[in-house]
Amino acid sequence: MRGKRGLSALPLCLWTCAFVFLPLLYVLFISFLEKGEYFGVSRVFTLDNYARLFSPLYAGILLNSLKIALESTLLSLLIGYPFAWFMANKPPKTRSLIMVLIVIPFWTSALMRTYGWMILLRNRGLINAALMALGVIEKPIRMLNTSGAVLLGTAYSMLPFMILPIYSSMEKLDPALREAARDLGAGPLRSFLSVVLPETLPGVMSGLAMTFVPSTGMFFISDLLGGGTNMLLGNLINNQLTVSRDWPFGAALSILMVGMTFCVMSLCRRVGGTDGTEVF
Amino acid sequence: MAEPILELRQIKKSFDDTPVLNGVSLSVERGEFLTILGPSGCGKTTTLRVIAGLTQPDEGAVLLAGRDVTALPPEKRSVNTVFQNYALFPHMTVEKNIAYGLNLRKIPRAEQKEIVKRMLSLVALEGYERRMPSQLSGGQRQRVAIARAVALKPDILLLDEPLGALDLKLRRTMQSELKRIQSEVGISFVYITHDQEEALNMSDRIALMNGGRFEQIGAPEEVYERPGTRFAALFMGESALFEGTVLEASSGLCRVETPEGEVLAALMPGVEPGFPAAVSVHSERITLSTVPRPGYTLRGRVTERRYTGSTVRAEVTLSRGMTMTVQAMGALSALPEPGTTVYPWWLPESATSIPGRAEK
Repeated sequence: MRGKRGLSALPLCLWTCAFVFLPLLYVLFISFLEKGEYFGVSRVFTLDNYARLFSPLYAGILLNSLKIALESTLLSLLIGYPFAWFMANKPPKTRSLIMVLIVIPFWTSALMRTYGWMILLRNRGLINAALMALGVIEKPIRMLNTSGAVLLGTAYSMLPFMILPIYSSMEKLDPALREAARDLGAGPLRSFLSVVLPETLPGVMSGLAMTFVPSTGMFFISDLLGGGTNMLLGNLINNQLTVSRDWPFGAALSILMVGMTFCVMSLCRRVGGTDGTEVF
Repeated sequence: MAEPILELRQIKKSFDDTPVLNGVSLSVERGEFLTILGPSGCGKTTTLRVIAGLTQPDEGAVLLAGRDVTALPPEKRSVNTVFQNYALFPHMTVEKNIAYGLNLRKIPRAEQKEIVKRMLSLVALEGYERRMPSQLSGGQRQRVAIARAVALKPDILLLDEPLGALDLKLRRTMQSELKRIQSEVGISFVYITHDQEEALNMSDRIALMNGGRFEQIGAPEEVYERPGTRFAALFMGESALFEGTVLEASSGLCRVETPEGEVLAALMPGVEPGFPAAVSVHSERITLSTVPRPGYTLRGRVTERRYTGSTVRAEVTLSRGMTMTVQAMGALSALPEPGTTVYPWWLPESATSIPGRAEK
């Protein structure tokens, strides 16, 4: 049985090797080389690229992108968890309708949707116009080109990846567990905290992993909504490859990002693991 | 008489305009083992949920120890439930599961440990404190669920088909275990099942439920021997039901004229000469004679004969086409072979009469 399973996983292994591991190895290789004179790389081994990561400038960018990623992840958790709860408590028909509504935005590109946010947020955009027409404000509020807008845009684009895993863990939750908690003397809040929350924690953890990691790399959102004032790790890598043409440093930054991703994912797996580790 | 620990008064409940409970009334005494027995969809689980507070009735009242608790949420009622699929908290150890309710009541840790220990020994699971529910067998989970519910010393323990998922042998063991546990803790049990054998085996009283109301409430022997309605007669064991008109009724017996002939049964209240009634007789109380027997007029032919292990069974078609099953102990030869003309009879007291006409 084991052998059969291994065999059927073979295509996936080949795929992963060809399109994930080999390119990653190539990136790792480049990150130890020197920048070419005009273009590309020259074959000289160096650790300079990694040493540059520790300069205050880049460390600042790194911290800033971690901060934005953390904040937007928490924001989408704050919105996503109650939303998933709301959804899981609806009758099946309503649930599938909500599911469709969540998925529909994905039929257009993320770039288009970000432009949509620009239209909403700019000084003479929909929100400001509406508020002014209602007489709530006299002058438009500056919303676009702020770090708040970057936060909002990132959380927005990550929200479905937060909702879906949480929702799926809630859907699997036996409703009798909540009733058992009530039956044994727990009020509604208490039964939620002691039963629902720990039981849906694996979903939360995979939601966190699925949103935190991409959040650090969404350079176009910070470009469009932050007006380029917010340099994030993703922007930096993008710049190294397209503007500065410093591939080795871009590669080193990418390796750093992969490393961070790995740390976050294993952390999430550890906390949300279902091996009986008690969290509460 | 002492005040009942639980009283249901005219409970009504509908889901989406479909009535599920049509005026259910019941009272349970202290220390009693009462079984609600009925086919699936008869409303027994809803009744249980109304008692637990998990479902709000549309009408009627729930009284616990004389106090109206109809409006109270489940956590405010001294009632605990053993759920059908046990509903153990998967992320907690056996100990944490059992202590869950104790913890909420702010009982000191040391005392909690003490109670958990006692509960585990009550359900014969000593030393299982650190196990996770996923590491337990079905029967063991069942025991933990009982321990968790009993730990709070409720006035009433509700059990929702707790043995449904277990195999026959384990079910028999758990039946006597449950009886033992109940007599040790002295808590009233309200037990739900669709298995009449289980109900007969364990209960002090059986409340037979059908179509959202109780058909009959009584001791197991009473419900089995003297079913009060046609549904009760057909649900309890395997019975032949003869519809007809009462010819005479005297000295505790009655004679009923049916299309198949005259049959005798014990006289029950409401059965009167000249009025319609039914006679119900259990398949194991019928004897198949191969010669006519004075005073008995049924006649039929054996169409099938089967060996089922503990009993042998025969299908008999009577002269007017009615079919009935007859059971006997012993080997296949205890019953006449197929094709034989037989004259079924029974002791009049072993059959019962049910007044009124059959509902169409």
